[in-house]
Amino acid sequence: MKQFPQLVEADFEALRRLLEEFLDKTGASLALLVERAGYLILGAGDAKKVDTTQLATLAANAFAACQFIAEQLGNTAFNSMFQQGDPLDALWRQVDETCLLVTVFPTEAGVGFVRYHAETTARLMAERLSIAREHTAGPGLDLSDLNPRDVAELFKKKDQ
Amino acid sequence: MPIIVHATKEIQIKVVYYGPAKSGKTTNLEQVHAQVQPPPGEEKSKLVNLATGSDRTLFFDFLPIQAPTIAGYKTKVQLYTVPGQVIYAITRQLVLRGVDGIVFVADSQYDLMPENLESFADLESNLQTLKLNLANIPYVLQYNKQDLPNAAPREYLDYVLNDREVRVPSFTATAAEGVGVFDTLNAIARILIQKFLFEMEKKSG
Repeated sequence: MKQFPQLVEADFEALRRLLEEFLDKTGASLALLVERAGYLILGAGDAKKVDTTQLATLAANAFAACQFIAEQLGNTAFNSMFQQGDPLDALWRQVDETCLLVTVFPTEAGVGFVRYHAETTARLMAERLSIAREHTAGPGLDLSDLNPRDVAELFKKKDQ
Repeated sequence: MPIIVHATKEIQIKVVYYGPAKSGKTTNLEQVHAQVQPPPGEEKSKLVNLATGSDRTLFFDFLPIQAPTIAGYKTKVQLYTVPGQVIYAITRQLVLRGVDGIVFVADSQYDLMPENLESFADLESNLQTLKLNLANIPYVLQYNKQDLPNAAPREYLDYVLNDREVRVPSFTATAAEGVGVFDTLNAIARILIQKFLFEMEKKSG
């Protein structure tokens, strides 16, 4: 199974541009790139009204549950789902096997229109992730100054 | 494998609290949520609880927390629980997807050892379905509910649950009072970061 690649700045900016162009074309209010385990990788749009970290993890798990149901029903081509709401709808589109494009948009934008552009954006994002995978070893991570003993108490109680 | 985004200098790690029904998995997250000290300048995160009407976990609980910056990288840890009841086997499998580390929360009461063992076997089976092997995933054991009169001592619980080729760190706890919760959390976080360091060193040759 593919791993989500390590993103360097060029990848990140390319993905951000794709998300922003997608928002411009569709009038969607929020678009997120979410790794399938529930990590929020990148978001664009108006995130004031919603906790995007929460939304990402709920979206990834909801998609996984629906995909499992689809498989049980013999549908092996499940790659998107839609939640109808008022005034906002949500659309999930698989980018590749490691991540999803999650879009929140006003109902009047029209799901067909948003889905059409989501297909293109997801394909372009998948291509960019393939490029990122080729250099995924990337610059590495210099953790040479980290003493593992220093992380013995990563999380502290308020009164400590 | 943790998600690394060099562009934003972030590392994201997923830890799943696993164990039999009512062993205290949700209580662990509630205690972390109530007591954790966020890094300076960071806001306290929210705990998501997808529960039934009777407050039993239906899908998962979720709490994102942030550790102090490590070598310039923000370390975000996502804590999940799974529903413990037997009927939710598939749900547990979904939540385990992409897991980096596991906290197995056992109920220390003597008469619940079969449930602990059944849950542990279920964990191994679910990981196998995901083509993962527990031997390759860092995990720790927490022996919860030590305050109860019929709680077994740590030695016995180690004999039942930790008598394997590779023994893992184990912690006694009374999660409802916050006892042992942070010891467990810090242990799994430390192990995960050490594993991560090791793998990065291996990659860089």
